Amino acid sequence: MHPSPLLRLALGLILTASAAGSRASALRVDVHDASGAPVADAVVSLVPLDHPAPPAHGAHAIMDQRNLSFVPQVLVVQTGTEVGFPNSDNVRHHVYSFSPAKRFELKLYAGNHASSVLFDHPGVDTLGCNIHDWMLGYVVVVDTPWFAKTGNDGIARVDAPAGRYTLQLWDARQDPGTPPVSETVTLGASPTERQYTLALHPAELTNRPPPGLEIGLGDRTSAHAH
Amino acid sequence: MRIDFRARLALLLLGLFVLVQVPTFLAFYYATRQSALDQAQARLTAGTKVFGDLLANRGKQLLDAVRVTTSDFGFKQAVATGDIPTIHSVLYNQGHRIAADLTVLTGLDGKVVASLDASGRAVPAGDWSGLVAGAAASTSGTSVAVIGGRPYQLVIVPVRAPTPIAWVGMGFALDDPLARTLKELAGVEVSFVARADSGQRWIASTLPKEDRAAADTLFGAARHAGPAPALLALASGDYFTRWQPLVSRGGVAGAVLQYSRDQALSSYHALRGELLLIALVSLLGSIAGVLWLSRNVTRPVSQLADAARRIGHGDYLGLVPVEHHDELGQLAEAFNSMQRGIARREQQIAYAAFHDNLTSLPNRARMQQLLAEALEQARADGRPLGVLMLDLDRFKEINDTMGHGIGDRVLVEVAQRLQAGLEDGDALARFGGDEFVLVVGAADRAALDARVGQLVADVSQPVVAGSVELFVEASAGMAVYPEHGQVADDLLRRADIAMYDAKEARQRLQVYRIGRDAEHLHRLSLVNDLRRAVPHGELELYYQPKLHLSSRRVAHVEALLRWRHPQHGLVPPDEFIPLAEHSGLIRSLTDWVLHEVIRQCAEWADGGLDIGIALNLSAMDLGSGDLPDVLNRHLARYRLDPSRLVLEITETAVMRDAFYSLEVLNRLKACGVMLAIDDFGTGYSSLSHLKRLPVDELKIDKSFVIGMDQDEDDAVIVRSTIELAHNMGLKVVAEGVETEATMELLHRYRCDSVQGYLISRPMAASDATAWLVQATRHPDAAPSGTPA
Repeated sequence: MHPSPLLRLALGLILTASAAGSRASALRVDVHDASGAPVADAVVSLVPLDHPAPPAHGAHAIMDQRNLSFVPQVLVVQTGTEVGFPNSDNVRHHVYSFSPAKRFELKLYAGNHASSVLFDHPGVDTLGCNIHDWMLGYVVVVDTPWFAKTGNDGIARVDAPAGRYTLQLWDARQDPGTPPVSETVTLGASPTERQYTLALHPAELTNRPPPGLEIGLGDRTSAHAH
Repeated sequence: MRIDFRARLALLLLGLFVLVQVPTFLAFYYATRQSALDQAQARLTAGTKVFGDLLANRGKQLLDAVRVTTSDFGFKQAVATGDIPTIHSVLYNQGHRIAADLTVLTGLDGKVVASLDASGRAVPAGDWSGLVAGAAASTSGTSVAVIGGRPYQLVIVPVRAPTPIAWVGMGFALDDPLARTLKELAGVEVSFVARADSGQRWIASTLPKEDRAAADTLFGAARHAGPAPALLALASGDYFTRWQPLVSRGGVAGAVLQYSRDQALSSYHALRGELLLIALVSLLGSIAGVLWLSRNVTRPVSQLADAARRIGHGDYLGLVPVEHHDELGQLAEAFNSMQRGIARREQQIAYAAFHDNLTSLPNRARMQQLLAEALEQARADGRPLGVLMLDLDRFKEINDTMGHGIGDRVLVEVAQRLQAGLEDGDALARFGGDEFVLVVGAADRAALDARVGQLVADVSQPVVAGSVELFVEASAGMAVYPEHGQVADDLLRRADIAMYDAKEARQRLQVYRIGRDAEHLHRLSLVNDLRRAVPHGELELYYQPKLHLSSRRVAHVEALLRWRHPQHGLVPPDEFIPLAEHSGLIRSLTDWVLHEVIRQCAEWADGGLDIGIALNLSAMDLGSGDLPDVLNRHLARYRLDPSRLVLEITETAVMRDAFYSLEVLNRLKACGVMLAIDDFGTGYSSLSHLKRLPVDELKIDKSFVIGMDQDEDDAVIVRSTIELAHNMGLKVVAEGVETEATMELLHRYRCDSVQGYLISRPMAASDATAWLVQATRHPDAAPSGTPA
């Protein structure tokens, strides 16, 4: 885990929460798979029912290409967020998305020249690299600033102003035929907890290069730090 | 049918060969055939495996190809657009790249978005949800499906971006070209058969067209065949068949893999042809070998058989070739030695058959040939040829008195003398006994006569045998070609006749007189008739009285034999007695005469006539020793006083075999009969000899008596003979008394008895009886002449 995006996210959340008012409520979501194992990288979002969500002006996020992988694999952004796609590897990447929410294609040459894409429609954008088939990333675009990803312990915490929300839960490995979790929750003074058990497929792509593959591996960031 | 040894041998060898060859051939034949069939099945099994591998490999290759196609970014992009025309075009493009017969794009749920055939036309593809679900569940990525009635090998892969966004299915028809390709690789007939759920049938096959009609059969029979290859009869022939099911959707599909039984056997058929050819060649070779062998084995046998036949025909010139030193070779040598032996012995036999042992002259049989050849020559030369039959007079006497050794030496000497006189072209043979035959050639008749005369004269010279000098006289008869006969038999017979004439005439040489042949034949027939004269009662006795001069009484008669021949009438004794003597019949005549005389004499005695009877014996009678016995038997039977019988023997007969006849005469005399010498004066008996004979009487031959009243010399002879006889104590009878003067003269000379026509002619028995009765009653008036 790299602290930098998380830090930014946390900062963003704090800013959002403070903007919404002082009566912040905490939601804790615990996600397990059918075998009871914690599910990481599940996305929890709270879409306000009683008022429109505050827009994400100038919001910015990074989906890095590092070690022939998307980092992070799952990036949650509010609609209208511009996401930068730097290339931290010393090989080219050709990132694309054919998802209806956002279609794009970025040819990323070696060197950290970031291109950026504005995600202006909610939905899940599945990212691939035309050069490296195993790379799989998701940009989950939600219409709310209150969202979180589960950690390795399967727990996600969202602080949002009290009020009624539609709680949406998404995971990449969910069966596409199964309706996504979408539940109305009311956040009050006391922390709210929710537990979900998801039926998941094994991931087809791991976003990790095949074991032993060393071509193109390198830390461009650290190289530039010198 | 006769099967010869060679054929049997050849058949046996051939049979053995066939006995060995045929099972070998058959065993090889069936083993090869079975091997061909096993091989076919093994090939089918292998082919089936290859087929399965090929199909699987093809699936992998197709899968890879399709994967490559679907991972094309442009393709993904196109699919992602959701724009149908774009999708159609890209599907066509990618499908065409890898020669797919069917290209289908579906959503992740299997709903068909687009489906194209090979030429890019949109075609209905049916429901793909199952196929897609199957593909998602399967790891292989390939399957078989019956779509639109046709079976396809399907490759269904997801389009990833990078997670699946759609499914692309590409179908490759299981069609004729594929079947052909697989056939080439797997080496078996490949048929794809399918039955869609709709019931529609499909067949793609490498089989000949006529077999496609049997799709149902293939589908049915092949599908139910077990794991082992089944034999399936199709229009184009029988096939070993295996069913390879293809897991499929939308219908039942499978591959029928077959290997033609005919094809399997075709190489075997070629082999069989070669085998047959080899068998045929080896059979022909064996036949040739067997024939050669059997010929080799049997040829010596055949040669021996030929040689035996040749020897059988009397040809001793050839030799059996001795080719080997085995048993057959030994046999051949034995054959040759046998042949030499036979030839040598046959020569000896032939020589013996044609030559006389004693003189080494040709014999009768050989003479026949020599004479025939000589006649041939004489006929060709136009010269006369004399055939001379010669025998020695009184040779039997020499043999009897001097012994056979001397006799043989005489014969050899005579043969040498005759031989010495021969010229080229002449021939000499000994016919047996003392009989020789000469064939003498000469330029003309006069020369012939001269030569023959010389030859006969040469023979008639004394022969010195040891210390004895023998006077040999020969009698010869000659017949001359061409006047006395044309052929050998005639000439020989006539020479024989001439020789007998010579003997009778007491001449050295008598040439055949023409006509003597007929006389001779007449005599021969008389001899034949004479045989039955006694049984037929043709003989009778005449009696001629003898007058006792001093007593003027008739005390004896002479019995004279008469033959009354049924055709020729009365045959004179002069004619038939010599015949009887020559033919050996004389003994039976003599027996008959003896019996008849004794019976008659006894009859007369019984009737009071005291008459003795004289009868004539032949010289031949003296030769047989049993005459005294026969005489005694008859005498005893009629109880006749033997002294009434007078047996007359001619002087010549007595002289012919003086020693022997003396013995017989003594024995006869011992019987009590009287003995008389007949025809005295014609022989050359010596007085000393006569003195020793036990005779009682002399009969003076009529040749002296008839003329004695005219001829002084005869009278002197008669008178001195009578005196001589009387001096020796013998009585004298004169024959042929025909005149009183003669009788008176004889009376004066004190002759004891007379006989002749003056007294009486010979009379038959009854007349004689009457005459005698008369004469004894009136002795002084003895009748003269023959009674009427």
